[in-house]
Amino acid sequence: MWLEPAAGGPARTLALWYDVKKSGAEPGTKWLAELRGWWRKGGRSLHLPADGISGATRPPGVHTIALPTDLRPGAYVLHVEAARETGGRELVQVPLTVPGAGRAGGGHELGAVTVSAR
Amino acid sequence: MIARTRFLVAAALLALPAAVSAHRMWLLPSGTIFSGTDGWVTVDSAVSNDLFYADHQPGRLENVRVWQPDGTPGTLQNGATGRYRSVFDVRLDKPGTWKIGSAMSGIVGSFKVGGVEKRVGGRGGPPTSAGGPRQPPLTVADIPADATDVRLTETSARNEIFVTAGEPTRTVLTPSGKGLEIDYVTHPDELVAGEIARFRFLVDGQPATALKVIVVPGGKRYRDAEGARELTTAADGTLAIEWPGAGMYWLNATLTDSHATAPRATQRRMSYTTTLEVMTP
Repeated sequence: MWLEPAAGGPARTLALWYDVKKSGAEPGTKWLAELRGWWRKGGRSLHLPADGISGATRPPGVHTIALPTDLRPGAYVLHVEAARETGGRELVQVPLTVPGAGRAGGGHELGAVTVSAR
Repeated sequence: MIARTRFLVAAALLALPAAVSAHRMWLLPSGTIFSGTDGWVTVDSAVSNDLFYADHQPGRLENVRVWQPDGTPGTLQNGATGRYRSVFDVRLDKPGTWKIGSAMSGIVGSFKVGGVEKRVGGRGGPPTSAGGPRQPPLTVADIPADATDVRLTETSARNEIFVTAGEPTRTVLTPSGKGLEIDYVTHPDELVAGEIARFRFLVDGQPATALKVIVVPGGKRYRDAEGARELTTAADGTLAIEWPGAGMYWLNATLTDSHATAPRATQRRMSYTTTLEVMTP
């Protein structure tokens, strides 16, 4: 999950969920390049595990995470990408103006994505 | 100005991650249709989840056999095993359809001695010293007379591909009448996108009714959906498969029943795997 300024600029990773604890010949990080959009947008240069970003894979359901509090007002696009072993891959993009709210829906891997300021 | 407001993102995840790694064994031929009798087929063999990307374990070549179009044994050449993939060649010096693959069988299960559970088959026990070799797996012969809770499963796994030089022939397609296999009503080297192929699934030569068959197209990395289809055989064991597009497809069926033939085994688990090439119309 990452944020990009709508006008272009560096992407900021908000959350990355994978098998953080798995080590050995096939550590959890082995499959991170399968998040193909995120990998290109900065995942490949991120030092992992990253404080406040890396976390364990979560089960199906609705998950809520906080946006960074130092986010400057402006237009952004929130990207949510999911890839599953022996499953599909999906990228949902939500246009967002801060402060404000946004909403978009996925198809096969991701459901509704909502962003809001409270 | 820094916004002090709190923001929230809520996202819904729809699908379960693959719970147990459903590792897929595959053989991938460089082609299935050849002209003349001076051609070679080169085959990749690996175990991985995404098809056909070798990113987990190489296939084992010692179990791979070659059948020439007349059914006699052929020769596997230039075999090599890398970190993630094994490779070998077969020289297709006789016209007709060749079969290449492996048929593996074994016994897996468990028993108890003095309340302690021991496992038969599989990967064996942990090393007795740190860094040492794994203990060899126990066999049926290792089960002591005072063992209780003996639960054994006979396993058999076929993984075979078909390549044809010149005109397709059927000698190597003849079902053996043992275990899970396919009676290829449609020849496996005559598959065309948009056309329907008919395969009859057999268990010990009898129709495998209501058998679940999974068909997965290759090229997973370049599309979003897995694209796997789970199909079910009809009462006579047949399955009609329509191919949505040309390419390589991985097909697998697994069946468990109680007709074990090995001593003390109470059930048997059989699987059949093949890779099929579907051509453009």
